[in-house]
Amino acid sequence: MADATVIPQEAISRGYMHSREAGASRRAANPQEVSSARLSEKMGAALKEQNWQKMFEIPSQPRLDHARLGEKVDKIGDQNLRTQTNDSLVGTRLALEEGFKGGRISQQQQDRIAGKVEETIMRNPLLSREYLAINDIQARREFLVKHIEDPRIQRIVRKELQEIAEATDDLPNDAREKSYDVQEKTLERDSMQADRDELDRQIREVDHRLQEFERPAAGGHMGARAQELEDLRTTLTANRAGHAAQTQIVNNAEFRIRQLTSEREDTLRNPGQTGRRPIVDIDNEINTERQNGSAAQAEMTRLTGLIDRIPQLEQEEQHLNKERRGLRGERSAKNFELGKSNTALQRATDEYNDALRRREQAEYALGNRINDVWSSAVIEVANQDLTELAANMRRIHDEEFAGLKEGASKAGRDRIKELLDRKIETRGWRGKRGRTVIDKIKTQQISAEIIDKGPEVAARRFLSGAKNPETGQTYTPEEVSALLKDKDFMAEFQPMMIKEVFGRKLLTSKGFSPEDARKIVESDWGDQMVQGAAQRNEDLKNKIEEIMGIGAMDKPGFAKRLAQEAVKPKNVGLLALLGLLAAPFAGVVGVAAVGGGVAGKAGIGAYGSGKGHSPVFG
Amino acid sequence: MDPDQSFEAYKDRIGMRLARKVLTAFEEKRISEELLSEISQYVLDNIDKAKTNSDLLDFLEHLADKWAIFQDVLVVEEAQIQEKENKENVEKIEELIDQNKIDEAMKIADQANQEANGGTVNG
Repeated sequence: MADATVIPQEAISRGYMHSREAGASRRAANPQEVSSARLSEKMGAALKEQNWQKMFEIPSQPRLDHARLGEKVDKIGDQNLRTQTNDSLVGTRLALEEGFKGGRISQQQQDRIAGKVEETIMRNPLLSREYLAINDIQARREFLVKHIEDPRIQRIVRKELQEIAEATDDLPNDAREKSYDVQEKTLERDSMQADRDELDRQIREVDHRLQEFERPAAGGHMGARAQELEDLRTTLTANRAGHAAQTQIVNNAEFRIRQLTSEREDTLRNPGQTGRRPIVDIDNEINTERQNGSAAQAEMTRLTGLIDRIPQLEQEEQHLNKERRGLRGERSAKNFELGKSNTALQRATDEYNDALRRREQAEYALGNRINDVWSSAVIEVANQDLTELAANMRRIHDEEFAGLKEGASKAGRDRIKELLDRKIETRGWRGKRGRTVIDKIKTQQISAEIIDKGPEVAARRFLSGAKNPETGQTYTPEEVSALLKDKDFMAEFQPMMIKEVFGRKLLTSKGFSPEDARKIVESDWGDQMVQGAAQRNEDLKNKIEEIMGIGAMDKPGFAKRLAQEAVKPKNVGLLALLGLLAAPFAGVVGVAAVGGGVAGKAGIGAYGSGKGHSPVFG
Repeated sequence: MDPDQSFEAYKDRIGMRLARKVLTAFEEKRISEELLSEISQYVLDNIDKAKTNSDLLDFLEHLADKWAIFQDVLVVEEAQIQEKENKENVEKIEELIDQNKIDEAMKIADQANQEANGGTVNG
């Protein structure tokens, strides 16, 4: 239903709506009333056209939640896809609610929808045959518009869009959570990496210090501390001896000083006593001894330093080695943790990337679903039409061959249906239902067999599996051979068989190729069939005479000349015409006419009048 | 139901009556938009199942049972059928009287009266 008040604001800002109209819609006091008024208006217009079906169609179309659809499209990350999808959506909405022609839909939006419909039609055997038979560009456009405006197609488009709007899980949203997880794991990993780097730095430092203790086996530069240690060890004995000698000197000096001090004290207590040296001399000697002792003490201290330096250096080396072992152990443990942390980060990153990819895929799927919404609707309706056409073809053939109540022909026909039709179950938007479909591959195989080898091979194939009504068993090879030789039987069975097979071929393929057409009309059975078909069908006869001249059919070699015309590459129409003649197409055209609305919408005969011709053969 | 009227013409007439009735009811707010949608869908899904005028009348009866707004459409249709049948009966009775077949004329008149007083109205 047209309701401007629910058009997303972004659509307005992107220029899909004139600002005055947008303003007016925003000012609407009661959206429900506006919606109802528009609905009444549209229904009233349909009634004025005396089109009650159209009037009932209008309110029965599924509603669209434009706001929700707009929100979904806005969540598409890729800007180009978002813009294109939004434009498709807006175009589709305008086409559905204001009409494909005459509304606010832009030429570009019209062309996009028409292009999608055309693509789909070209992929469908029936529709493409009909479409290609139209030569006029304007008429072709009208053909596309007729599909776009088809209420059945529009209903499916609406339904599809509404399903998209209501879907809750079409755009997975876990990528954001996963990205937080990645951030967390990255922080953990970076912290561990920093710890590990610090350990590396410490190990490098210890290594550097230990390099001073390196002692190459032979040659090479010895570390400074190692050299020092070696020198100290080399001079250790001498140093110890020196230390002992200096100790002796110090001891001697101390002893002598004690003697001199005593002498000095005695001299001071007994001044002038003979034999005593002057105080000055004693003081001088004390000073000399003190100097000697001090020098020896200094040398002793130096030598003690050199001697003690050895265990210091040894302890330092041991300590550094121990420190390095400890640091390396810590680094191993840290490396293990860092590995785990990296794995966890990788897992989180993979999960995030997967979520991102799922999201992107979902966004593209959503975009494509919206962009292709017309294609899927056209396909669904075409399939419905095909099912209906096929069912009608079967019904018409049933009526036509009602005379074959029993006997070999009926048995053969039952077998044809058994081989070429199969039952399937489909799930449409109205639920599950069973239907009979034509087996396209088998139909193509047997059609090719008839065209290439003549009808007798196919007749033998069908009759061989058919049940003899007299015996209740399948026909024996002898019985089949006898039937094939029976002229009366073949006069009844062969045209019916060709009609059944070719009728299915025409419904499920692009029809006959020029080569097929040539083979058909150049064969005796085909020539006879074309002549018979043309003679029995007034409309076809008129069309042939329009193209090939009055009385063309009565002239000798007509079928071959018709084939020559038909195989010309540009002459699609004649090829289709040949299809009409060479196969029981008139019956199918009749089917289309029986189909009523189907024929009106997608009548499949390029030249079919839709009047329901009588059977061409038989 | 008018037997002279073709099925398609009769279906169109019924379709137009139903459409007018629905639109009026909606405009007068006697039915909601949801019900409008439901009725429309029902009509579209079922009217094409009718293959004869009699099927159409059955469809109409069913519709009137389901939604009261269609009662008067049904009444009008039934009245028209009754009127048509009465007219036919009168013509037939007159013809029989002309032929001095009084008993047969009386029999038809009785039958018509019984039908009018509670008989079925199938077309």
